[in-house]
Amino acid sequence: MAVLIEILFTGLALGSIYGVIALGFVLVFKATSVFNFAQGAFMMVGAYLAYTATAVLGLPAWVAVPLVLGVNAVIGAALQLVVIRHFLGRSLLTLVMITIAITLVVGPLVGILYGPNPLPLSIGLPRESWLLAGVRISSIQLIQMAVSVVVLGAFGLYFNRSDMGLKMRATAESQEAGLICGIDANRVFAVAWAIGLAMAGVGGLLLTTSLPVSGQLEAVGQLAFPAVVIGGIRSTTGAVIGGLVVGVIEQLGANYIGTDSRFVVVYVVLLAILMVRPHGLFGQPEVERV
Amino acid sequence: MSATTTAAPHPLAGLLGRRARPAVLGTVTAAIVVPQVLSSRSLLGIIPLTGDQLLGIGLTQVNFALITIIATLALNFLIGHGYLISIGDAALMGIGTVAAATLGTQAGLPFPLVLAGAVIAGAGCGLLVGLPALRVRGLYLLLSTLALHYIVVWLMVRYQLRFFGVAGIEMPEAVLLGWAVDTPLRWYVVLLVLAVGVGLLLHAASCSREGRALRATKGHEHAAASLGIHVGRVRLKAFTLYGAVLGLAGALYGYQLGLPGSESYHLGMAIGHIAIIIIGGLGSMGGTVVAALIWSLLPTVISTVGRLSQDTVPLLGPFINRHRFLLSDLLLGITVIMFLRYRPGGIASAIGRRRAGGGR
Repeated sequence: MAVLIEILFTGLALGSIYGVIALGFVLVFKATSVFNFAQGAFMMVGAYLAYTATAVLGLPAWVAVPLVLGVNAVIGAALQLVVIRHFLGRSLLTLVMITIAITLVVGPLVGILYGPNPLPLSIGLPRESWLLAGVRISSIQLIQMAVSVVVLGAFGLYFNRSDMGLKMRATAESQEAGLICGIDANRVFAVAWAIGLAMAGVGGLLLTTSLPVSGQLEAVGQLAFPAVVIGGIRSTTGAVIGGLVVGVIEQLGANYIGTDSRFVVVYVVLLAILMVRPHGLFGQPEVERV
Repeated sequence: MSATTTAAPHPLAGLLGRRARPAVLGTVTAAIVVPQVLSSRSLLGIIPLTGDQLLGIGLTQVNFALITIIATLALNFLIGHGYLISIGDAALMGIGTVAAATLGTQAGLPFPLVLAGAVIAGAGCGLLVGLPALRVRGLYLLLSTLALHYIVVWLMVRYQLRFFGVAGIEMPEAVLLGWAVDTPLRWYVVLLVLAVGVGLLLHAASCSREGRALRATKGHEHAAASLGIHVGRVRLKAFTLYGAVLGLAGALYGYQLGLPGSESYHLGMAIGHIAIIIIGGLGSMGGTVVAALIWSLLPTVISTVGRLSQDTVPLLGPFINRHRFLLSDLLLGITVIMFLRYRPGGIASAIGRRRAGGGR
């Protein structure tokens, strides 16, 4: 029993990170209808930037972390303004392929700049663990969960209470109606991309507390796709819950089937969800007209 | 079919027409000139060429390119005519390899039957991959093929470790009616024949009643259904054909690798195949062939350029040489973005524009 609780706890800690990455992803999708396959790649970029800031430039963590997130946000806005802008409204294949092509560009660039070897990253977080009624809980897991909760809460406040959040929701609902009300859609899109990639950066930083900085991170970040589909691709609540579900399933699979099965169980669940309820747990079926 | 399409020309009749000239010319060139130049490493046997002058391209690389051509022609059929986006190429090719290895090394079947078995296995799996298409489409279909990719690769790792070993899956010897297919040149002949055959088959399929029905489902699914087209059945047929060809490509890929390991069937390959379709132009077979050649041969070319310029060109040479694999990925990624931005119709539309005198 204690083992199961421990697995569930680890899964929830990991899942809360996936939730953050998935939420950034859903935000971009809601705003621009672009399925951002590059979310995992920019998560990796965030981790590498953190390495540069702390290990190369020697900045303290409280400067490095906001800097990294800021740079990621700038990259996101620039990406929308320079590249993605031209492709909005184009066919699904184009929208899918443009972000895949971006990963094809980002991956090699990171490889050229940083080399192929995994890099150690330390932003000076306490690494302790306690035994609580037979369940091992580490400080890292608590930090992962706490940061995720704070980020998700801040996002919820921003998205539901702020002026920009209102504009985002309006544009996501109907771009034309938003335009009529004087909302600059391009600006909304740029902000959505900026926040989306900043959240990918948060996810990357959180993952590096348990993984080294390497290209491997991109594969882990891709678990955001199952998370958003399980939750419902346009649902912000769904993204968070989907992330948690994916984290728990992954840990259950890793512990009861085998470590090499941790990803495949997630995709089996994804396939099952797609067959039974394609719009996800919290999504609404799309209405289609001839 | 015969009763309704008496007026339509035979699907293969177009091969003799003007539009088919590049295809026929390309095939003839590929059949005569390429093996001549690459195996004797000379022009007409008179002017010798070094490996470097051929940019490091040998028959082995061309053979891999031919396999990519076979696979991407099928994907082009699926995406170009049905707009069914699949990222399951690598998985289906893995199925083909596994089927070939099982039938060849464990059941001891002869080479033609091994290929036939791979085709059947691929078709069956294609049908399975297509099942979600009855329920979902677009993005969701793409994601379900992504899920299938991870599941198949996981199964493949298990299969490889259980029956073979860490090194890879052992492939049987290829003997075609007493003729051992064991040199790159002989493989080239086999692959070229198969590639042309697959091309003709897919061309015929796209001209057939089913092919037209598939194109009708592409744009307006409900409108197509109201015309009496059974959308689900047409899509499953398309997926089965796609799977069959991918199974064949997978078996051939396994033979070319010699000792294929599951890591050779990675997502990057499936992504690359979609990129080829985009660069070539949706639905264009000629464009697909050209793009597949570029995509397959570019890494070799960059490697050669890097090796040659390493000592002669300061700074840039060593840089290219050191990052040759990353640079080819980078270049291909940029190429895809450029095509999406400025030539969304791919190579096919770029050529079509020139022919039509700039307009279109």
